[in-house]
Amino acid sequence: MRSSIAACAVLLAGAFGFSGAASAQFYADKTVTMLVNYPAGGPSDIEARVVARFLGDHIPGKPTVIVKNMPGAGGLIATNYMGEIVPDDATQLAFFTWNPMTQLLSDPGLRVGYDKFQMVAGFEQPAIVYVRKDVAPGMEKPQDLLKAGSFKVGALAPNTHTTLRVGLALDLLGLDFEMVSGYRGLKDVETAVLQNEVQAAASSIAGYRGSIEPTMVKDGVVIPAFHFDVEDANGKLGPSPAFSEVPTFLQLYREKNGSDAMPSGEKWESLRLISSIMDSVYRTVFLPPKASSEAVADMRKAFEELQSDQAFVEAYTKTVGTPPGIVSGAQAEKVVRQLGTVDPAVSRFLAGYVQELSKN
Amino acid sequence: MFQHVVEGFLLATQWPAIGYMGLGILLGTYFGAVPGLSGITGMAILLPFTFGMDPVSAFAFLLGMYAVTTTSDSIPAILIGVPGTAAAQASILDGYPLAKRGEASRAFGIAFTCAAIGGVIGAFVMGVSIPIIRPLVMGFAKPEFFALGVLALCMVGALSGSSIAKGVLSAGLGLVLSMVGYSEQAAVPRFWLGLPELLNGIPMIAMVLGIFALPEVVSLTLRGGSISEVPPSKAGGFLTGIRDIVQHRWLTLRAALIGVYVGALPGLGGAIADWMAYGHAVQSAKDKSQFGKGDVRGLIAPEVASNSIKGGDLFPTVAFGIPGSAAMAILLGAFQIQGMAPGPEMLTRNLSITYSFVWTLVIANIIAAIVLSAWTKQLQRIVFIPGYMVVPAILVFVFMGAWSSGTQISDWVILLVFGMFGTAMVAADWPRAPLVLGFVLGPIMENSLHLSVKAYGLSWLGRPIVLVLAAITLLTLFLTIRRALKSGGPPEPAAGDRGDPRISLGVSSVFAAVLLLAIVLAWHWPPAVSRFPLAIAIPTFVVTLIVIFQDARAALRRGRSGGGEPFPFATLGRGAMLYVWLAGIILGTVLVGQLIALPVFVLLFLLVWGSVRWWVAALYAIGCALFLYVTFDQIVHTIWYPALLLG
Repeated sequence: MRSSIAACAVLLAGAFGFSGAASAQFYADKTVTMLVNYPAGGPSDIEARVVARFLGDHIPGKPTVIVKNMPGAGGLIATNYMGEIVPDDATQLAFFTWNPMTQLLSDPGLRVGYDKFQMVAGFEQPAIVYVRKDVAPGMEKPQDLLKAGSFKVGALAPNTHTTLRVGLALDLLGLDFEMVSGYRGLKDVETAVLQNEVQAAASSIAGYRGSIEPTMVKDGVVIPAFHFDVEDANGKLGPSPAFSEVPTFLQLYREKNGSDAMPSGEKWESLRLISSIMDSVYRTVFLPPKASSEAVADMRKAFEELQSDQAFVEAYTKTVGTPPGIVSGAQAEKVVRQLGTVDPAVSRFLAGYVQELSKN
Repeated sequence: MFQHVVEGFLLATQWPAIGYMGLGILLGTYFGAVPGLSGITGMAILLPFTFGMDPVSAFAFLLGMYAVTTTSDSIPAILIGVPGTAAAQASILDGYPLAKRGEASRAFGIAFTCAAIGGVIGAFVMGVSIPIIRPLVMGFAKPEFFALGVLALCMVGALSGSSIAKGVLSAGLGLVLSMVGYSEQAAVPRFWLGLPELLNGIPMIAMVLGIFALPEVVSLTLRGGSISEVPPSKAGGFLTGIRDIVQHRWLTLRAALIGVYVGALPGLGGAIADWMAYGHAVQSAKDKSQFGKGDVRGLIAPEVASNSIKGGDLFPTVAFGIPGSAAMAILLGAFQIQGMAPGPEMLTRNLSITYSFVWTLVIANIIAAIVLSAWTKQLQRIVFIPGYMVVPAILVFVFMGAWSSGTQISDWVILLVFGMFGTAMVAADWPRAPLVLGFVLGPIMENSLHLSVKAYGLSWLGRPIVLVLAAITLLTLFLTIRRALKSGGPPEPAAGDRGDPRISLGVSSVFAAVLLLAIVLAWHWPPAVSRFPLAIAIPTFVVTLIVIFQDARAALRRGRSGGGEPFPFATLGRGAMLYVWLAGIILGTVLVGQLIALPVFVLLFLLVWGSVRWWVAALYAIGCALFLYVTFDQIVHTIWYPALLLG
C-alpha cells in the first residue's frame, strides 16, 4: 500500500512538473502562452504578436511562444485569470493593456491588484491630444489651443486613464471644454472627431501614426495639440522623442503662465501620477504572482535583449509606427508598485472627478 | 477609373495572390460553417501569417477568407438551426423550417445563390458608390444611429408572429438584458447581482445559442425522428431555390442594397443589416402567414444582405480607417502590418489596390457558392438521419460556440439558463427573434442617445437624416397598426401551433419578475445610467401585467371548457432531464476539462438516449475528441477550462 502511494506521488509529481532537480533552463521544452487581454486584431494584439514572433529566441531554452486572447470587462477577466486561476504557472505571460484606474478606484471587477504580479517589462507609449482646425478662432499651430473658444472632447468611459488625463490637462490649461465621455472605443472617438461631433480627443502614438496622421492630419481636419510629458530616470519631465514635432503639456502650460510656471494642486498630482504610470508602462508584461524567481529573471533578460534585436526593432517600428520603448522589469515594478502606496487623498479626488464626469 | 478596375482585377488574379485567395476561401468556408469560429476569429488567426506576404496577397488571403464565412454559415443555420456566425441569426427563422419540411436543398439553393448575388452586388454597388461614401459616413453621426436603431426596433412588429404584444415584451426584455454590466456612460456596473462574471454583460453568442439552438436540440431529442419531419421532397430541390430568387428578384435587390448601405455605417453594419433585411421582407409581403414557417422570402433577404454587407463595411475601413465591423478592425491591423495607411490615398493613388479588394470579394463569393452548391446533396442528408445521431454534434458546436467568445464557465451557465427560457418560449409560442433584436440594439441605442444629448443638446432632433428616419419610422408604425386593425389582428395560427397558455403564463411571470427586479435595482442609480433601463423596463412591465392577465384568462377558460390537453408533465420532465444532462457537461468540465467531458458526454448520450451500438458511440466520441483537439486546440489555441483534477 505504502509503495503504491509513493508511486502515485512520483507520478503526480511528474505530471505537475515538480521534478526535484531544478533545470538550468526553466523554459526549455516548454510552450509559453502570451495572454492578451483584448480581442485579436486590436492594437494590443498586433503588438503582442510582433513581440511573440521574436521573444522565444531570447528566452533561455528557446521555448515556443504562442499568443492567446482573453478579452472582456475592459481586460479584467484576463487579469483575474492570471492572479486567481494560474497564480503559479510561469508559462503564462501577460501582455496587457491595462487600466490602473481600476485599482486606484477600487473597481469591484478587479480581484487581484496589479502590484501583486511579477513585472517583466513595460512598453512605453506616449499619448497625444489632437484638435480640429475649425475650432474657433482657427487652430493652425498647437499654441492656438490656448486661445480656443468652447469645444467638446470625445472620450471613452469616465473612469479610464485617457479620459481622466485629458480632462485634468485641459482643466489645468484653463480651457473651456465639455467632456463627451462614453464612446465605445478610440476608433469611435476618431470617427466622432471626423464628423465634428466632438472637436478634440486623445490617442496613443500607435493610433496616431496608424490612422489619425495619415487621414485627418494629412487632410487638414485636425492638428496635433500637445503630448503628455514623459519622466526620465531621475523623475524629470520632458518631451518624448517620439513626438519631437509637437509641444508637451508643460510647454503649453508655460506658454500661458510664464516660462518657469509649474502647475500644482490635486489635479496636477493626479495627472502626474497617471502620466508617470501610463507613459512608461502603457502595456504591461508580467508573470503570475507566484512565478519562480528563476522564470522571472529569464523572462526579464529576454525582454532586455529584445530591445537590441535589430530584426525585432524593424518589425515593431513598421507595425506600430514608432520604435519600441521597452522599460526594464525593475523599472516597471517600481512604477506599478506606486499603485499600492497612493495617497488616499489622491484616490478620493480621482473618484470625485470621475463622478463629476459621470453626471447627467 | 476603368483602368483602375482592370488593374485591380489583374492584381487580384495574379500569382501568388490568387493562390492565397483560394486558401482563404477554403479556410473561410470552414470558419463560417463551424459555429463559434466565425470570420472575426478567422481574421484574427490568419492575420499573423500575413507578416511575410506582399500587400495584395495578404489582403487576397484575408478578404477571400472573410468574404465567404457568411456563405457557409447558412449550412448549420439551415440544417440544424444553429447560426454559423452572428450574421446567420435571421436566416434560421425561415431556413431551418424549410429543412424541417424536407426542403433543405431548396434552402441551400437560395442561400448559396443569394450569398453570391449579395457578395457581387455589394462589391459592385460600393465600387460605383465611391463618390458618395464620404457624405454617407460623415452624415451618420450618433443621432442618426439612434434614429436608425429606433427604426430597426420597429421591425419587432414583423418578427412577432402571432402576438404583437408578446413581441414587444420580448424586445423590451432584450433591451433590458443588454444593459447588464458596465455602461460606457458612467462607471456604474448595472444588474450584475454581485457576480463579477456579469460585469462584462451577458455574452451575446451564449445567449443566442441558448435561445435558438438548445430548444431545437430539446425538441429533436424528445420527439425522436430526424430534423426533417417529412421525406425529401422532390418539389424542393436546389433549382427550385434559384427559381425562388428569380421570382423575388426585386426583394433580392432591395435586401442587397440594405446590406450595402447599412453595412457601410461604422460599428453598426453587420449586427443589424440582416435583421433589417428580414424585417423588410416581412413588411413588404402581402401574405405574411408563412414567415417563420419556411417562407422563402424570409431566407432570401437576410442571406443576400449578410453577404452584401461585406462590400459595405470594407469601404469606410479603407477610405477613412473607420472599421464598419469587428472583422474590419482586424483588417486595419493588416494595413499596419503591411506598413500601409488607410485613407483618401486608397481612393486616389492606391485605387487599383482598392479595386483588387473589390475583385477579391466578387471572385471569392462566386467560387464559394459554386463549390458549396456541388456539396448540397451530401449536406442535406444530415436532416434525414436520426436526430439522436445529430444532437451530440450540435451540442458540441453549441457549447464550443458559447465557450469561444468568453472562455468562462459562466458563459455555459448562461447558455443553459437561456436554453431553458427559450424552450419555454417555444412551448408557449412566444416570439424569440425580438428578444435578440432588442439585445443587439440596446447598447447601440442607449450609447448613441447618451452621446447625442451630450454632444448636441436637443438640436440633434432637427438634423435632416434624423427627421427622414423618424418619418420612415412613423410610416412603418402607421402601416403596421393599420394592417393589424384591418385584418382584425395578425393571422391566427393553426390550432396546433398555439402555445400552451399555462406555459405562457409561466413565461410572462418570469418576464414580470425580471423586469420588476430591473426597475427596483435601477431606481437609485445616477440618471446617466438609469434613464434608459427605466424608460424601457417600466412600460414593458405594464404590458407584461396585461399579458399575464390574458394568459391567466386563457388558461382558466381552457381548464373550464375541459377541451385542452392535460398539462404535459411527462414531456416537461424529459426536457428537464435533458437539461440536467447538459449541466453534467459543465460539471464534467469543471472536474476533468472540456477535452474529456465533451467526448464522454457524446458517448453517454449516444448510449443512453440513442441506444446505439457501443462501438458506434465510441467512434463518434473519438471523432469528436479529435475535432475538438485539432480545431480548437491546435488551430484556434482555445484557452481550455483549468480542470480541478487534470488541469
